Amino acid sequence: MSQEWRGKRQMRLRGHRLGYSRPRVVVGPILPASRLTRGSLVAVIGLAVLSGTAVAAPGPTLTTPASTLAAGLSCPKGVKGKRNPVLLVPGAGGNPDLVFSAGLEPVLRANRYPVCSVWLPDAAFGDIQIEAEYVVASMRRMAARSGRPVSVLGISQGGAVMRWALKWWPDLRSLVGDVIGVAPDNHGGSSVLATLCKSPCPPSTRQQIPGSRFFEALNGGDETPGRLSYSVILSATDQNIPSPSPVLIGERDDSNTQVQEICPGRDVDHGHMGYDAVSVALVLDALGHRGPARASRIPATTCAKTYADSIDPAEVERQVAAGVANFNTNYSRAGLFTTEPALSEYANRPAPQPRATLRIHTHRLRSRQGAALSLLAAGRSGHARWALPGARIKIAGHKIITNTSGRAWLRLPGSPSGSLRVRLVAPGLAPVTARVAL
Amino acid sequence: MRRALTVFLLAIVLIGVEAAPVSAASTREEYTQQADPICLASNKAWSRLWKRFLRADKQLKFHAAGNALNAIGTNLAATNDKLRLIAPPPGDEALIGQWIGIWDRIAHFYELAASDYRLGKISSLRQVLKGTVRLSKSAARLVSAFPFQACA
Repeated sequence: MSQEWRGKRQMRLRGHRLGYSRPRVVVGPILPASRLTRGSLVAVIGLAVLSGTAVAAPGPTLTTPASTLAAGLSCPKGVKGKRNPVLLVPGAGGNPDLVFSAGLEPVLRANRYPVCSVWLPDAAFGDIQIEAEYVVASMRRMAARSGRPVSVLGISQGGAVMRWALKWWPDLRSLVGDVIGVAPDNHGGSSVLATLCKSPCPPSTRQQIPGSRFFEALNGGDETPGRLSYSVILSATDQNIPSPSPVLIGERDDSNTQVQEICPGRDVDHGHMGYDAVSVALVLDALGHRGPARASRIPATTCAKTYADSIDPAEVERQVAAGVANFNTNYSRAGLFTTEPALSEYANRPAPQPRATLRIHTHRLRSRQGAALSLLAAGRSGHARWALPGARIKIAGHKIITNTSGRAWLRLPGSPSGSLRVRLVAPGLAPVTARVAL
Repeated sequence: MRRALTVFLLAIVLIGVEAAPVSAASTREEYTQQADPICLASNKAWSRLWKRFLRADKQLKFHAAGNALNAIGTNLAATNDKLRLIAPPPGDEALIGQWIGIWDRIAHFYELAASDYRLGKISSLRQVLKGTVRLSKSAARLVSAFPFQACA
């Protein structure tokens, strides 16, 4: 037996699959060759892809056309940079120009974060479930273009929109850097919404009434899905989303910080949360550190400032007034209804629980040159699989990071033998530990 | 001189073979008898390529899977070229031309699908494959009077 052939055979025999269950039976045109017709082959391929048996995109099918979703993302200065890009999600009645252009956008740019924002249809008065599709498509696109994790920041209703996306589309969790809610509507808005909706009101307004079917589905089970850093920044004097509505009850490392914890007695209303010096300092703190924002890291001197640096106070007042006018003008744009939009079919099922998987192939090199390992990190949820870029793998004292295809390679010199402990830590997913025999 | 003449004549014959239909069918049954073996061989290759695609997709080898999907389109286009060499029964020329034209579009759709797949445009990929199913149904309706086994 030649060395080369032996090597190939060993590679086949020593192929290990960690985290994977038994391989699925390949679904294909299992038809007798004599019965193969061109029409049946077209139908088999169509059925396999359309039903998601093959090429299953993670999470529910996006109902909005891809071109419409793509048009919603605005990244005026691109997504490339030395820091993770940030996606800004506006609230009801708002658009990125009104909500972010004089506040968080210039601040983040001044701090060298690439910034994108998403334009939601009907001034974000439509069904929040549809709005979440825009966030899903935007995050996937930003992550693919930048090759880095994407931090997502939602203001007011935008906080609920981003959490809906993170809850039901499992692949997003491995694309996320930080999740930040600024005055986010996490459990419903003030009683004004219920009063408004005594007569017909926009879909998203009705969904934001506390106790709505939407919030039951969003907060059922885990309020902070995935192993992500959730930062919630709220104000005790917010009349629109009064405390404790924004507060998230998470199982893991998440933070809920009131600006008054840092500056007691500070008065910050809902419309000014995106401009307030303390609120913005907490946003930058969350983005600049591992894990969520921490009040303890914000200097007390921040309390002396009304607005964050890089923000023009005169412009703030103009934008806040324009935001109120825009809210009133667009209130009926998505239609006025007496009932809440029906929950999508996927939201009636348990939320996906994606997991990281690692596939390892070992290849012993000739004449004691060691062994070569080829590794593939992938996320998995049901039939759907996706590559895990930026996952950290620790094996035999070596630390390697997967490339944009979720792949990594390692050469172990000498004559490695026995079994090695392998640990995979993928962003947003639970770590995987296993042993591989050499 | 004699060798040159032989080569010239051989070239003429080969060009004629390439340009003219391989054979002529006088009835729909004869056409089917000639076309079906071509389709059967192509379908087997198609089936192998589809299995290759599924295997690569499962292993997240996106480039290899995209290549397999593209090869389905290429294989289909080559089959259409072979079918064009069979002269249709008298009176069915336009019908057969239209039928092969639809399969040409299906072949092109698989090439588009491969491109969408490589770029991760899953919803666009689904739209394209929906189009292939729709086209193959209309192709089948067009030649429903032919007793096809493999080409249907």
